[in-house]
Amino acid sequence: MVKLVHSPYPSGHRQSIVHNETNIRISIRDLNIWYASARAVKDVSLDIEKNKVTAIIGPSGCGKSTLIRAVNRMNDIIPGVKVKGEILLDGKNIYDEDIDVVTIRKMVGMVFQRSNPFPKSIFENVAYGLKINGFPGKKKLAERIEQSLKDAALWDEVKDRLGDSALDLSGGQQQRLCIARALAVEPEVVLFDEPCSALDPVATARIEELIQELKEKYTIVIVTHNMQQAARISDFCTFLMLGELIEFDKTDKIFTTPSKKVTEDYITGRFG
Amino acid sequence: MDIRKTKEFIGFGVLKSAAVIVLLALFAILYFVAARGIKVINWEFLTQMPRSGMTAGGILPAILGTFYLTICAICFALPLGVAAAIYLTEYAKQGRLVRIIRIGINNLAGVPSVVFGLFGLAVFVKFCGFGISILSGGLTLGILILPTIIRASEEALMVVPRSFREASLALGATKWQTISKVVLPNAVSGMLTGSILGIGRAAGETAPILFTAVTFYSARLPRSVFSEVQALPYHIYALMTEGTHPEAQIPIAYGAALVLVSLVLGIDLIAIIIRNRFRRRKKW
Repeated sequence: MVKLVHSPYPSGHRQSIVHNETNIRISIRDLNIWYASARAVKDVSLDIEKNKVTAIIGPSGCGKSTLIRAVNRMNDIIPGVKVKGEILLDGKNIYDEDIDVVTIRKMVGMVFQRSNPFPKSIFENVAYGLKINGFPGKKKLAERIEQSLKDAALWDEVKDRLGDSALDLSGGQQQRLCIARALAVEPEVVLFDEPCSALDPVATARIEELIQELKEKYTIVIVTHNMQQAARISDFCTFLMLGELIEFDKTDKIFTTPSKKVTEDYITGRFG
Repeated sequence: MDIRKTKEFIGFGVLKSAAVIVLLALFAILYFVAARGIKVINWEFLTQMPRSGMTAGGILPAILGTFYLTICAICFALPLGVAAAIYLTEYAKQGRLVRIIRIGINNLAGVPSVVFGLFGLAVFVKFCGFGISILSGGLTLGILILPTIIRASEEALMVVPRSFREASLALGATKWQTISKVVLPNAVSGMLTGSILGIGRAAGETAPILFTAVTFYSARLPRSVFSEVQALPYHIYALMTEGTHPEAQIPIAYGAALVLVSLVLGIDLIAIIIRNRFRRRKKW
């Protein structure tokens, strides 16, 4: 059990029971987020380790989406949102004044709850992120798109029809296309905000398998309302309730011997 | 019969007859104008200058004048209206100021068109010194259709799903890249459709150009944006109220009316074609 108490500390110098300190990619420090006057995230601190899958679970409205969207500053686009606290990405606070939010979002990609391909061709969808960043050369572009689609386990299904509209793909394929699109800009961290909630079990299984493979290259944070999913795919697990971090630990520990009663009640399905 | 069914029957009957009456009114107008106007329409009518003090010849200057005025209005109002709509929906902080601007725009749409004519006279003709000209009339018409264009564009922008914007921003696009590459391409059909319908209306307006652009008769075709012009709506008005040979003038007026109505319907048709073409492509 770690970091529920917000003790005074020089950030980054706390000892961590859960983590190997050198592998930490993202440190969230005393994060508070308000929608107008409602506080959706309360004093949350946690560390996210490199090349691991960190899951955020909790009942609806517990602030898990708000929390994950804070990591690439997607909350910025919602009017009336106020953020206090720090999120250190490789030691640098992404909420600092001098930070360019565009750079942050390039480093921290995101896959959304509902697949949201652009109404363009499959090729153009993956190319979009590269083109806006001024990616040079047709040949290189095609190579990168192929690689991204392969990484997202979609290449074999679409390689003969890259010019077709992305909207003609199935729901699961669309979601994998969105993953390919996110991977194409070579982020370091990929955030998944309930990526399977609109998918059938078969498509869900494919995405879960894919996330397992992706952690070789990327740091992954996933929000899920599905506890079995968190248990299956994550290395670390955060349990959030009413905006507060209740427990954060290795997934094995959370699901076998949680240290809080309320965590146990939630994961055993007594509420939620 | 079941009382509920009777009610339903009556309800549908009322709705249906309302629709039929609207259609009938439209067709009655079209038939009325077409039946009287078609007699005078031939190639000469469309391509010749008027002759013998407006009692013979064609209406070419009026057709051209309306065309130029409309083009001038589009060139002025379309970019301005679209830009304003983009600013209001995408950039401006949604607060009291924007609400007040929106109310202002909506009220502008309700201002009688003759008031726009007076405004045009005061500002473009006199203050700016453009004189009675295509430019003055076009700008006045442009202001008249600005609210329509802004509202149509705002609506078109607002129906672009937020998920598209989020997807683009999350890939590291700037706000401007997101607007120009994702939002606008998906909004352009709605913007154009609404704007073109507004332009169709402007083409038929008389009052705004009355003091700003038109003349009863010009011996020459307009040579620059500072020329005064003949225009179809005003030409009809003039033929019906001035001159001393009504038996010769009235048929020409109906001919001009038919040309004007065809022009407006043609513009609307373009809007419908654009909308359908884009609608087939988009599935969200």
